Amino acid sequence: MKKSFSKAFALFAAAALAASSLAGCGKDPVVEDTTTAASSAASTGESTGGDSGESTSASSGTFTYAIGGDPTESVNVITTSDRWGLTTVKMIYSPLYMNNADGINWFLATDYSVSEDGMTYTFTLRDDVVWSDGEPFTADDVVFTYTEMEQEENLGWAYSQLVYNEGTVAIEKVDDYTVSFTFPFATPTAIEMLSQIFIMPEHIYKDVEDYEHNDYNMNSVGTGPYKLVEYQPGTYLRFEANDSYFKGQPGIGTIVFQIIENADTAVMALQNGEIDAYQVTPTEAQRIDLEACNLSSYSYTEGRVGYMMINCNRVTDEKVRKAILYALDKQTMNDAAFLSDEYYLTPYTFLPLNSQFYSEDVEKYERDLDKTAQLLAEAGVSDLTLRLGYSASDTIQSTQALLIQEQLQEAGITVELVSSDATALSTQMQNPDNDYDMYLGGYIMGIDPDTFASLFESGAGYNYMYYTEYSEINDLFAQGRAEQDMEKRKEIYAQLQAAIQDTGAFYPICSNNKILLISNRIQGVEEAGLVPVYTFEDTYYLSVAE
Amino acid sequence: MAKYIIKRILSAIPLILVITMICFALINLAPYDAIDSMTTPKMSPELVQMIREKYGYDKPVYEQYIRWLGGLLSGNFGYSIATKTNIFNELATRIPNTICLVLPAYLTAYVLAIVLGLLAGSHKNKTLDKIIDGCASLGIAMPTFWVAMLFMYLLGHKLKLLPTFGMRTVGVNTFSDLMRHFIMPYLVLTIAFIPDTLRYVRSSTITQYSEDYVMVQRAFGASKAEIMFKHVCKNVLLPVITKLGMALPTLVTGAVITETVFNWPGIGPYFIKAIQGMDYPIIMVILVLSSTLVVLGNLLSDILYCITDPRIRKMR
Repeated sequence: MKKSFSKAFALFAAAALAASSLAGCGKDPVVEDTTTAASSAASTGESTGGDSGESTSASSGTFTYAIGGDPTESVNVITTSDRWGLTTVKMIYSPLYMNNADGINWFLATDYSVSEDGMTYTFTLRDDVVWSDGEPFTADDVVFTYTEMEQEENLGWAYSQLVYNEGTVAIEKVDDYTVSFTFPFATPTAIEMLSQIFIMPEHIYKDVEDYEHNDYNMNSVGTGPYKLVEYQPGTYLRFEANDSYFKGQPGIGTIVFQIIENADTAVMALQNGEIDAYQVTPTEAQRIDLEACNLSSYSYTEGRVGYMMINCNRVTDEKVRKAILYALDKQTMNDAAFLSDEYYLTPYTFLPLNSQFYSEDVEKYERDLDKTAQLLAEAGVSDLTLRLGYSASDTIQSTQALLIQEQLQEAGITVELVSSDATALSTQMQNPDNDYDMYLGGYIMGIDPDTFASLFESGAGYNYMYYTEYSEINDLFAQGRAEQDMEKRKEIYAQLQAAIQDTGAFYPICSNNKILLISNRIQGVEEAGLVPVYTFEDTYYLSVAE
Repeated sequence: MAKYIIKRILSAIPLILVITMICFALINLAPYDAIDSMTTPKMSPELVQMIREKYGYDKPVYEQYIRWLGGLLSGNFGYSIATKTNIFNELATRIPNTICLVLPAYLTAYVLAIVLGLLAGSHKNKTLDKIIDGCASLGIAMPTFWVAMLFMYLLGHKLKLLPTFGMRTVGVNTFSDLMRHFIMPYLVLTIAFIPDTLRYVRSSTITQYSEDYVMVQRAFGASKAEIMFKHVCKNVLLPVITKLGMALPTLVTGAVITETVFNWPGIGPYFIKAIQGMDYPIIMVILVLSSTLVVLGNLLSDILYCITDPRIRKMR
């Protein structure tokens, strides 16, 4: 009797466990179902009701964009610095202006003036902007945001753009719609340093101490084209058009950021039409039949430069470094890695090609094996063996590494390939005594050439080439920083680009494009503008075709 | 019995402590940390140092460990370093999602494996056995992510029967929608779980059939069904129950790959992301959780054994 009772009990327990877990799946949605259905019905009712008079400007349809990472509930304008977090911030908030390679695009500000000493920048703000909760937007919000960004304890992403050893940028409200910024020194990079900072509402955030954990991040009140209405961790973010956006009623009613971390899954979903847009690699783009899937391909530059750097601590002779570079052929590498020339540009200096300071008046190191042989002979080096570090998970770098090995082999130089985890490699590169002779990597820096100083000045924090003998480079960076005149700056940076190429330590390989595949249903991609990091400069311009 | 259980639980505590120490030490041996994976050349070295100090990375390893352990003991799971989110909240939404995928799949696989294992074992070296055993070998050989992609391609893309990813359609929160998303990962997991138990059941069935008592029963003229269900089955199923208890940690970490492929918002994608970003607070919490479940699972299987096997009960 007792035995059968225990058995029955064990069985019952197992069954109960199974049942409760199944009920767990089933129960929530029923509850959620009614609330979401009600709220979505209410919101559609609201938007159609509000626009019944003017049929031209109604937001409609849904656009689902698959993103590769979860922005998470800690999204805020101060500390968020990752790609998808910033993409989310861009939906909800607006900056004073965006400064990209094509120049300034105004949002909350309308124009600016510079004082004669070049230290004070005064911005005029729009006076017709309201926060999505109806409060007016004023200079106080701007002063509040920039001041919070300057607080050390907030660890804001733009802290080092506003706080310098020489002092802190002073922010002053001139009147309700005018704000001035005074730098501690005259700088040509001010416009870039102040850009892309999104303005948060002072009336909401004024008592917040921890920007990452508070009650407001996910109930955001913003001035952006969309409002965040629902967030499911790890699954999706749902935005609805912000009726009070200062440019007017956005074209699409609902935008969903579907979080899909596995690229194969996302590509499959894109081909199936379950999602409308996704950023793909060149190989994925080649594999998809765009016409059959009703997709369009847009490729745009993020100003990234992919490079090979030579570690001067180990390859000390400039002649040997140049001999290596003359044995390389970047065109072959790019053809192999990117499959189609739509997906990349070929840079010859440290600046991205869309920079207005880019100059090709430099040593390009076109392939010349005779020169390699001659330089190696002059340096008295034979049987050269080099260790090349690269990221194993990066297919582009793997292709480049194999071709570098092959091309240098033809010049009699042996290359040992050392693949590593991307972060582990860059951590090792930060150590001046690392045991790599060369490494592959890439960077996206700012619009102004001065932002590259941290990579190329000798002794700079991220200079992994570790050259010390070229004082000219630091001098030219200093001159460029102090010069206000555009033409003179161009000249200085042309010299600088040549000087860096002459070290023989830096070999730019590719400037690869981002490729966005987007359903033909979605219109206005050109107007919305494809920009680095945020994908769309303003999602307001997107619309859905029936 | 109660005394025994309490003794077992108490003796598990130092074991779990040692596991956490080893894990913590291993994570610290890695050539980089979470701050490195967030750093970009745009950040000034001073800012990076400030972030490093905020998360206590400037302290020696044992101090970091004690700080972390103190937090855990006071019920504070801590915050993710990469995303700054509260780990407890994330786990609280993700673990139920994982369980409601893994539990049905495991139970289905368990039942199927027992039935097929008994069938194969009792038909040793006959066609039926060869088919079942062959399929099981195939099941072991096929990597889960590949089977998952195959299902996605066939059912989702070619036939367009089922949605390819996620747990629910955005804005649609019905049970039938959940089921449509559930079917593919459920099938993949079931296929992944079957072979292990199946082969175990098959081999112990074969062993039991070669025992003397079976021959005695045959000699007494017992029918095949009688031998199977009255005698062999009992002996085969006893150790299989142990496997049920041991499967407890599977509830949390059993579907990491499948979840990632199907974008199921469970523990899997969260754990993988944390490992890639060296986000040690998350890795540690999940490891502690699953090692605790391993210990509890062992305990559970001992108890189940006790309940079902009178011989063991009498030994105590």
